[in-house]
Amino acid sequence: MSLKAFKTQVLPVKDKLYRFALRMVRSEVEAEDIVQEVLIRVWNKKEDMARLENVEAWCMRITKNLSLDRLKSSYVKRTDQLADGFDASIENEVTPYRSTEMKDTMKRVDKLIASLPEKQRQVIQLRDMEGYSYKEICDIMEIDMNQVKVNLFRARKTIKENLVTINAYGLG
Amino acid sequence: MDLDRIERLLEKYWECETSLEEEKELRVFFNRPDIPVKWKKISPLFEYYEEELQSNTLGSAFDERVLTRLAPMPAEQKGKVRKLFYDLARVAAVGLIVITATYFIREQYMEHKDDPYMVDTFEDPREAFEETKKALRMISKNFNKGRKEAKKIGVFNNAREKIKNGDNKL
Repeated sequence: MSLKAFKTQVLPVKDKLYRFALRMVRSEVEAEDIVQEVLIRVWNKKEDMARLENVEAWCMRITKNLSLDRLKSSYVKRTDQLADGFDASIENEVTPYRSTEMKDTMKRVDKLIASLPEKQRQVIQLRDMEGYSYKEICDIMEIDMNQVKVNLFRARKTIKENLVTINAYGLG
Repeated sequence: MDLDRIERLLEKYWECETSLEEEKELRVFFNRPDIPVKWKKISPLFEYYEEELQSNTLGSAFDERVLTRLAPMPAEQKGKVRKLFYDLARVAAVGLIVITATYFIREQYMEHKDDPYMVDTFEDPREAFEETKKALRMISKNFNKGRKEAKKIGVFNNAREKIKNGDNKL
């Protein structure tokens, strides 16, 4: 693959990769760092690319694996943070990134999605935000179709219940 | 827009039965300014989805950073050809040196092939024997001359012995 092909085929995917990484590691600096590493890895393996039918899904898969690696290496630190976060009041608990720019209602959605289990969070990102097909999501997440649907169903169910009940009791 | 349709799509959405197009339709709908009150609880979700797509992007500065990190790669590929050339040049240089050296050595050899020391000096064995004896005699004479001089050193030895013995007596 030439540099030109890299610029037209791979580089435009960077925002999707970035958002996906950001959804998992929740740090802009780290997410950006991950995307850089992904792109460099892709470039180094450019000979393999001719055999791939879906380059984008491949890039997303590398992003997922790298992000999970990073999470694993900082696992202890993160769980401590999460534990602290749940004790704090809802209003004061701000997400680590871009929270000030968001409307309150959206902050709540952000927090809600952040509180979902890892896989559900990934599925929501891939399906509801990036608009990938179920098959592509299987490919990216390396799980079967059934798992994808179960995770998506549970995620949407949790979101629905939380959005409706919190508002119903006026807790926003 | 048909609100009943949105209602139906939303139901399908929660059941995970919507297609990608239908989900897109929902997102577009809920990002309009005039959302009916009954969906006010739900609309932030789709607003959030849209907002996330719009705001979380990497600028062109990022592209440049990545591309500069990739840049060494094509340069290295060009380097491969250059490296091959250098390797070949190195081999060629060694070959050239060997050939030149061989030529000059051969030249020298041909020039001096007929010099006296390269061929036998005497034809007659007797004459050769006499000549050898003469040479050996000369060496022997010079050697003896040297030995005579060396004998004088023995005087120092004797003197040292005497002094030593003298010391012992004291």
